[in-house]
Amino acid sequence: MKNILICLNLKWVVQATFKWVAQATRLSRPATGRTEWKERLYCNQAPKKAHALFPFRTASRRSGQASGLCYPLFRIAGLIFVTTFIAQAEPVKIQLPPETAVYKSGPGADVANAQCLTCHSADYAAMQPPMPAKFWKGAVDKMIAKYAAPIETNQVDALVEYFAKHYGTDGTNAAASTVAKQIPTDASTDPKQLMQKNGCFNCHTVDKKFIGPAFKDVAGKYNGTSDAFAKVAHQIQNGGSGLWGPIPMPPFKQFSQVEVKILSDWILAQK
Amino acid sequence: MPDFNSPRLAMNRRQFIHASGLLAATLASPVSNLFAEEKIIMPFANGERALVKYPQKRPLIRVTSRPPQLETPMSVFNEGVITPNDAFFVRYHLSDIPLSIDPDTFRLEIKGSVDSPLTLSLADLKKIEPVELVAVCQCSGNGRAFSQPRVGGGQLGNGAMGNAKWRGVSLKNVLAKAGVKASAKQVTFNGLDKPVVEKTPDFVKALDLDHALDGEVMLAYEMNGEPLPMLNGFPLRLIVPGYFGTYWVKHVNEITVIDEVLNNFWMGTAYRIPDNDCGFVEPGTTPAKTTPIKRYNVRSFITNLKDGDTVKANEKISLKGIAFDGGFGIQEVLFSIDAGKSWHPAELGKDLGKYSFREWNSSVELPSGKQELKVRAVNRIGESQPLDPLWNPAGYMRNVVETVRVQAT
Repeated sequence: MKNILICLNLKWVVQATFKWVAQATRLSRPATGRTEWKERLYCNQAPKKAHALFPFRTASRRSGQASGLCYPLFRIAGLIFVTTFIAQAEPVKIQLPPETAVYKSGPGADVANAQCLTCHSADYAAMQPPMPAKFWKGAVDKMIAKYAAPIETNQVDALVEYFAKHYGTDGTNAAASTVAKQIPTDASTDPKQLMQKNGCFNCHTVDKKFIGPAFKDVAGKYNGTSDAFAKVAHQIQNGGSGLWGPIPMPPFKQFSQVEVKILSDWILAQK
Repeated sequence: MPDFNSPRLAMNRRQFIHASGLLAATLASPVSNLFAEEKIIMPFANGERALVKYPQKRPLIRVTSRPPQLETPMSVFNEGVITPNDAFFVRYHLSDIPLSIDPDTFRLEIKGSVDSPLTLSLADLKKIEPVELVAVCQCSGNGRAFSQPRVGGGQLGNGAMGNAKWRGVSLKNVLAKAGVKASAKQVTFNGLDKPVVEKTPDFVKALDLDHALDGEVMLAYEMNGEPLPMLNGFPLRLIVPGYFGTYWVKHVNEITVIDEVLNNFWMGTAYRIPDNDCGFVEPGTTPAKTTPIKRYNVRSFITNLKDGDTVKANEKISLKGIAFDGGFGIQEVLFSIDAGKSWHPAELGKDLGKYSFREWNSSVELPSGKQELKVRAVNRIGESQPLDPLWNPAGYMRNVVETVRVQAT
C-alpha cells in the first residue's frame, strides 16, 4: 500500500483529499460539475494507480450523485488514512547491495587496495578485457591525470605490473585466484602502519567524518554493545553500505585474522 | 519514509520464494555464500557477470558495483517496446551518488547568463505545461565489449539502452522563465552525484544554446507514468531526445547558462568521437581530431531469438525485434535468413514517435541446419547500418548489422 502512495504526487493527494472531503460534506462544493472536476484531476496528473486505491468512487461517479450517508464517511476515513501516510512519506531512500568485488592477491595488490578502492570498486579492473601492460599503464596514467587519483609516482610501476599480471595478458590471468588470500606483508603489528599501508586513511580519519565515518564515531556507536568487536571486524572484512553515508565500503579480505583483530581493537579504542 | 529496501515493498511472490531460498542457503552455508548471485556469461572474453537485484530494480547484469553500472538483459527488449522502469539500465560516473532525496525540499537552480536566476521546486515545475515524449536512452559505449581490437571502459554488451515515456517540462519553457541573455552560448547541467575525491572533475555536461532551446529537450519528473527510479535520476532528469545518454544528466539540480563553450573533462576529453563524417577510424588507430559525441546512429536487433537457440525447420516461425535511430525515424527494417545474401522487408509495429524504439516483425521458414539471421534498419534520411563493425578508440556508437546464429531442426 505504501508502495502505491509513493507513486502519488503528494501535493495532488493533499489537494484532492481536501476537495474530496469538502465535496462529500457539502461544506463548500465547487461550482464546477463533476466532469470538470474529473478533468482537473487528470490534468494534475493523477497516476492511474490512484483509482485502485479508491475503487468505490467509480460507481458513485457513474451514477452522477453522492451515494448516501456511507460515502462521506468513507471519504473522511480516507482522509485520515492518507494524512497518516503523508506524515511518513518524505524522502525516497534506497540502500545499495553490498560490494563484494576484491582485488586478486599478489605483489602490488596493496597499492590497488590502498589507492584505487577509495573511488571505485575492484570490478572496474576485473571487467576489462585481457590487455598488455601498455593498456594498464594508460589506465593508471588516466586515473592520475584526469581523475586526480591519489597514486604516488613511485607506485605507478608496481600498479601497472600488478594489473598486467593479474588482469591482463602478462601473467597467468585465468589461474590467478579470485579469492584474495593474505598478502605477504612485513608482518607489522602496529595498527597505524597497517592502516597506512592499506589505505584506510584515504577514507577515514580518527576524529572527523571524511569519505567514511571517523574512527571515534565508529567506536562510539559500537562500544558498549556485546558484539562491538564482531561488528567492526565484519565491516573491515566484508564492507558494508547504508550505515554511515552514501558511499559503500568495499570488503578488505587481504587482512589476516590477527591483523583484523589489531585493527578492530585499535578502532574501538579511539575516543 | 518510503524505503525501497523493505522486503514488503520490493518483493513480489517469485522474488519472495527466491529470497526464502536465499535465506535457507544463508543459514546452511558459510559467509562466502551469503550473497551468492546468479552468474551469466556474456559473449566476449572476460564476460562473466552477476545478475544482481538493486532497489527498485529486477535482477540486472552488474557491470560494476561502485559507482553502479547495470545492464538490461536482452530478453527484456522482447517483452515490449517500452522498457519497464525496473529493468532500465543504470550508469553512473562518480561514486558519491544520492541515495536519499526528499522531493519536497529538492530544488532546481537556474543561473548564469540569465535575467533572473531561479530556484524551482518540483511543485513549481509541475505548474508549467507538461510535455510527454517516448524516447530511447542509449549509453555511448553500448556494445563496447564487442569492439575488436578490444578497448578500455565499461565492458557493455548491448543492454545499455532503454525506451521510456518521459513526462516533464520543456527546457525551453524553464529557461524562458529565467530569460536567457543575448551573450549566452551554452547551457550546462549538473546533478546531485559527486566525486569522492575533491579534485576529480564533477560530472557536468553542456548543450549548445540552440539545442537547449529546441523545445524537445526536457526535464522529466516521470518515467512510464511513475516517478523516476532513484538510480535513473529521481526526481528530475534531463532528456535529450536522439542524443547519447551522456547528456541525460540524472538528479539534475543545477542549470547554468554560460557565455563560452564548456571544456571540462566530460566535454573536452571524454565522450568524444573522431571528427569525421562517420565517427569511426581504422581499427587500432588514433583520430587526428575529435568532437563531442552527438546523435545515435541507426541500430536494430532481433529480440525473440538469441545466439545458439534451436528452432523448428521448414515451418513458419516468428521473427521480431526493435529498431531506432537518432530522431529521424525508422523508414524500413530488412532481415536476412541467409547470412546477408538476400534481404526481406519486415512489417513495422506501431509508431510511438521518431525517438522511440520501433517494433518490427515477420514470419520465416528456415531450412534445417545452422542459419545466420541478420537485421538491418534504414531511417528516413537513408542512413543504415554497416555489415562489418566499425571502430573507434573509446568503443562508442557501435551499430553493426547484428547477427543471430540458430540451429533449425
